[in-house]
Amino acid sequence: MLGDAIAAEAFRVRRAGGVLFWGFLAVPLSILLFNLLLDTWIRLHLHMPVALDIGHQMVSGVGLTQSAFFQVFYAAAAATLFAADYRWETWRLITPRNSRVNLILARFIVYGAATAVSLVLLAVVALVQSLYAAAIGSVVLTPPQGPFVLPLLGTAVTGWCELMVLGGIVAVIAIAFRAATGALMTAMVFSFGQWIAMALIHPWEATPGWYAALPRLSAYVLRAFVTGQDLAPGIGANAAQAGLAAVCLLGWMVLVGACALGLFQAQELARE
Amino acid sequence: MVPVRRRIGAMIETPRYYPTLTASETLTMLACASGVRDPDTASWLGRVGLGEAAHRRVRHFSVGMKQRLGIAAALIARPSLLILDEPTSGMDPAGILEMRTLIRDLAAKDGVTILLSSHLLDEVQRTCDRVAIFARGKLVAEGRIDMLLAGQEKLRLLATSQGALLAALGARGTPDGAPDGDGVLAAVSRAEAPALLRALIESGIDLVEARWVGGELEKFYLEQTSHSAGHSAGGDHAG
Repeated sequence: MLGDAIAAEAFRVRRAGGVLFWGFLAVPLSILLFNLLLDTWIRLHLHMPVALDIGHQMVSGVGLTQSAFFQVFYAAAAATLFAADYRWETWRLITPRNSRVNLILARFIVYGAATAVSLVLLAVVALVQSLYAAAIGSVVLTPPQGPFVLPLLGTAVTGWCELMVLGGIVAVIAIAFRAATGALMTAMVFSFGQWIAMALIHPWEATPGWYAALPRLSAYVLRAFVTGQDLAPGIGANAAQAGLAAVCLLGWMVLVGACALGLFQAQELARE
Repeated sequence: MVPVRRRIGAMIETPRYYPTLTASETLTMLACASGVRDPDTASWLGRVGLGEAAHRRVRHFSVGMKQRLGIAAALIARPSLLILDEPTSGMDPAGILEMRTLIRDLAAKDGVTILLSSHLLDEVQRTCDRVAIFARGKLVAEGRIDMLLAGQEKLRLLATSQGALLAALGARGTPDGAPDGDGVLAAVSRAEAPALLRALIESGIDLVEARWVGGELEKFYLEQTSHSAGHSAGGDHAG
């Protein structure tokens, strides 16, 4: 039953080229294009190849999803996925064929799968860009300095969770107000609001309340922990902080997912 | 609950679709959601007269085409009960005839029970076997259409002499009062009609016309709901 709902949603999204491109491909492709042009410019004007750790480059590439600007694209895709049936008044067409729980879960799963593919593409883009830069002589590749597989996976999973929280918030607003625009605007305020809040606090001394309030802070601390980066000069993220961050991030995912499900279960759909 | 619902197909009011999908893709997607593997979309689109438009995006469809696609969508999971609300709304006369034929075929050949809700009572009478009439949410009449209308029919006769015709019919004949002629209404059953006509001709009356009148569902409906407002009529097409 859930498989049927996922198959239907995946089929629909595959036919919606605009959602796929702008939501999940635009970020990796724009980064690739920008970096290729930048590498070419460096090669033509500076003639000073610098050393580049290819492993670090891929971790950094995947970590770009923490950018509030790039998150807007993923939020737009989520808004389209979760609000399309209100816009086109198609819930009546689809709800007799599967349960409401399955229909909403299918949307989350399809959004999550597309986001995961987008993260993989970001890693591939970083690899391709590094190889291109080395090929034209703007950088000299060096082997990874230390382990990079676990940091890469950790960064990808953290980024995925952060984007799922964002998608969940979009889903809640889209279902509650039956509109994509309001959901997207809320997601943007949420994303940029956290960015501003992060500038006002010191992550290395944030209280559990801040972790609970800001999934962006949790993701930031988790990323620092898995990559071994400092939160501040000489101050790294410890396991307790990382554990708290992981719990808060997962809590946000469960909370927004449950809210979306609960709202949709109780919603009157005879009026669309 | 969902397994039960999957045995029911429905098209309620004018259906809406994802505009980016073609008719064929729409059916494929809905079949996926219903758990139907390898749906024969081409066949269903052909049966509702959309075979030529299978690969056109739904956003370009007329209201009538959307109605047809709605019926195909309701049928794609092969339901045993089909609920149709005003299925011929927005269709041209040829389309209405095709839809009536399709509905009769689905009941007669595919064994689908069809519940049709409509205010087009002439269409209901032509399509359905049984009818239920509701007024203000209450059932006011229900049964086979021919049985419900059995007492309503009269044989309208037109002869070269209305006086001679009335005299021959006696108490069974009354002038029909129609402004367009000298018709006479004969209160006889269908079983009695052949003998009556034979007797009239043998008595030297020149009959010009003989036809049944008064067996309209619309008239019956208005009689049943004459004291109500906001009526609706529905037919349970048992096949």
